[in-house]
Amino acid sequence: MNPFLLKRLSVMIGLLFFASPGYAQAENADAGPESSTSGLWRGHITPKFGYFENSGNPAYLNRYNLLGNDNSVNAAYMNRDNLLDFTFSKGGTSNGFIADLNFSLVFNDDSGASLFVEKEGYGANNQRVRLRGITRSALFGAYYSTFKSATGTYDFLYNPDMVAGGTDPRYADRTLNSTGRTAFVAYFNNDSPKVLDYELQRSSYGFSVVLKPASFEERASFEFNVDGYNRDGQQVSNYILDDAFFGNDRNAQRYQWRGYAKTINDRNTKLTYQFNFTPQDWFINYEFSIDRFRNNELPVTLGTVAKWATPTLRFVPGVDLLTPLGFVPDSTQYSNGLRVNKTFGDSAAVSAGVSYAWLQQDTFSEPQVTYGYTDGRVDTINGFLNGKFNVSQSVGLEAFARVNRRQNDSSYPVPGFYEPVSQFGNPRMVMPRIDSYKHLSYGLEAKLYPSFLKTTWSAGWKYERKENDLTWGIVPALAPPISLYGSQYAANEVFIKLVSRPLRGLVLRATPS
Amino acid sequence: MKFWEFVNQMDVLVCEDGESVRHLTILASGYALGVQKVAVVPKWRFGFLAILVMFFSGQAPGETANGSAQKAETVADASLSKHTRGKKCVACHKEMEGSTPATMTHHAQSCESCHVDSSAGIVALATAGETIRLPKVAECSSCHQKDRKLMHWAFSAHNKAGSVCSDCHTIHVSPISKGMRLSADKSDKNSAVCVSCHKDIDAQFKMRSHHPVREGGMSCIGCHDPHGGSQTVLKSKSEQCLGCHQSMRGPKVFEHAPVVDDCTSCHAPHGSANRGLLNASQPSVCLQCHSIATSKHGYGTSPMPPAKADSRTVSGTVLRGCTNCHGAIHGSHQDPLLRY
Repeated sequence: MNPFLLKRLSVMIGLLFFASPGYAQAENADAGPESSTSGLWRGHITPKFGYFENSGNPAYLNRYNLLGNDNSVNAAYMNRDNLLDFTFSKGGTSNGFIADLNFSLVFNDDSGASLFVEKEGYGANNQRVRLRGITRSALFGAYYSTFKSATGTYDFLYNPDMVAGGTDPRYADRTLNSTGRTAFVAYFNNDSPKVLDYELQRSSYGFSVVLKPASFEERASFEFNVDGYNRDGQQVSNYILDDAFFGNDRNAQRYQWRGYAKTINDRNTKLTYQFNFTPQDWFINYEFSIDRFRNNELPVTLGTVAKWATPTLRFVPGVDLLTPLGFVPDSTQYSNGLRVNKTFGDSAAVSAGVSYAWLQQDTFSEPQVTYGYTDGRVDTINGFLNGKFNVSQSVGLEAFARVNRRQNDSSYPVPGFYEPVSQFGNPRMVMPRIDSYKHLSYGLEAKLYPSFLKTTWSAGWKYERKENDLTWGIVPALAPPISLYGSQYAANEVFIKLVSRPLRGLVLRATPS
Repeated sequence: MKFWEFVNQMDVLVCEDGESVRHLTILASGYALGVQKVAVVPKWRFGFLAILVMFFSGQAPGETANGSAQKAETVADASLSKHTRGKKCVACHKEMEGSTPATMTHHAQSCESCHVDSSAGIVALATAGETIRLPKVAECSSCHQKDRKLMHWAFSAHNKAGSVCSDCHTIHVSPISKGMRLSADKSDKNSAVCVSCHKDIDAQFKMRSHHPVREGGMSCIGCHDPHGGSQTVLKSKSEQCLGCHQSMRGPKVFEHAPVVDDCTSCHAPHGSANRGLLNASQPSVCLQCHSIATSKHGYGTSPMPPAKADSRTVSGTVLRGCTNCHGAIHGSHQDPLLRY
């Protein structure tokens, strides 16, 4: 049977065992509902119970077991169910039970204060918890969620040496290779055999407080948020090393193309402060945030690769063995944003916003420091301006403009490392340096809302322009025409849209443009 | 019970204190498919039912069930607590009394604070021939207009599409009874509400490669602001993605232009039949821009590849996954060819 169909069937079989929601409610025993201090607890419990069956579906069972001992391939596609990882079925069996419980509790009193707790989940690797409290002058909330998923596959099915006929034999041996080029594509070395759990767990958390001081008469509020996530696990990473590292030593070529289990250990923390001011029909919002990303895992370097291949692999003198592969630096982004909205009753509204953010690199690799690449920074400015005018209850006109600008302020040029002209006869800059990027769009749109079957007709025009300020490397074989990605792009679009929702769950759309 | 008796009964309900209110719109509850007992229905659509009700009940507009003229809301009514006033409604709407935790702060509100114009009570509206109905956006925003999330509601795609708050938010009960929705048993509540209308997106999430929305790993509102519009976002398209995918945000020394421009140049964020959420499978997605194979990707009969690309034979390598070698496709800190 088709494994995919079998998987679906197994899920459905499991869901047939889905239990009906339970319900429970308890009233405060000390105070009746008519009392001024009365409160009410309510609860909602949903037990979950499932059964899965995957017998005869090796691809499904071995979603992490990508490589056998002989490097044979188990076809494993992205799978996010993680049914095998918890509860009553340990050890990768083909069937098992799932038991979980959702619940939500809420407390209300007559003053309008409430407390809300909710937990949702589906097994140990898929859980969400929320807490929320509301009073007249403050609101607070917190959340935590965790989710584990497979990290995809080795892409082995498409690697040349894993598919019959996938590798041109002339690449296999330099002496037989009529191209005179390297032979590394004939080999793929797995540096992480028997790594079964290519999976990532992402845990997110957050806490927020909103204060509405009485002195502002509900016209102002202050909001403070802490958000963050952790990512832990392993992910497949491929690389191929430059000929120059080996002096074109053909004995080393078979070690140039490799893959390994890259350990993921990411930490993110974001602090956000917001101020809202709402006099009359105005709404003014200012936001400032600090967003820190930390990669706590030491990178794999050329020195690590040399150890994997010992004693065969030798780098030529001068190669920095501390050169990392797939380097992910720590970084921090600072953002400012100001948004203003003004409404004119139900007839019109104007909205504008502008933000400025800068992203800076906090850690640098060994070669970057050696060559003097010590400033990694990207500045972005975004803005929008929108206007809307309702001619009547069923006819509206809208105009919009939006701009995004990105400026690369990182170190440049860095002789020997990052420069338009090669210093060593080896192309040091092939991908263009994107000095700046600008995206501008604006347009008009007219909408008609006939009071019939929830239908919206709209017609409009949109102009969009993108500009890239690129610096290309001066390498003849790799001059700009190699890519069809242009430095400038502009488009005019005229469109008509019809969206109708005659029934819940049924949406009709016609969108010629 | 005959149909007309049923209609008649549904027309005029008598509260405990003898007041009556017109519930003509209850007849239209089927329109909302059980989401609410009372639905917003254009008067013209069910006007003929109203006429039938009047005819068979023998009442003229403005009359009550016991034949007396509707009295205005009394001072005593106004002095009742919100809780007590709500109780009058709950005496009939018993399903609201035992409502679920989604009640939240609205539990402390009186029914008429949302279901009728706040300037008039239920009784007054009944006298005027008005009906009790779900609150419109304006009535919700009378309390929520200062909410930051609703700042750009005027420019929201949902607003433009004619959606009202009650399309997504049900005040009394949980919007989706997840136990009855097998397809959404793992997703969060917000996403379950979204896909109840956006069926096309729901279908994309069922493709082999997809963001884990159906599995509950993330929510639609993690990327989309349902109360705002795409033109009121203070981030570029790539920046929105990099909020979660921070290991790719750089700054990179050697950047890949589409990554800076727009992630959707290569990726379909909701779902794709191709690995890695790609719009097209490799190498097609790469060859859309990189249409010319270089010396490493094609060969000729001489020791060195011919200068002209059209003289080269495309090798098997080109026809496989480009990222097998160019593993740092989102940008590199070391290699200008994005190989590591």
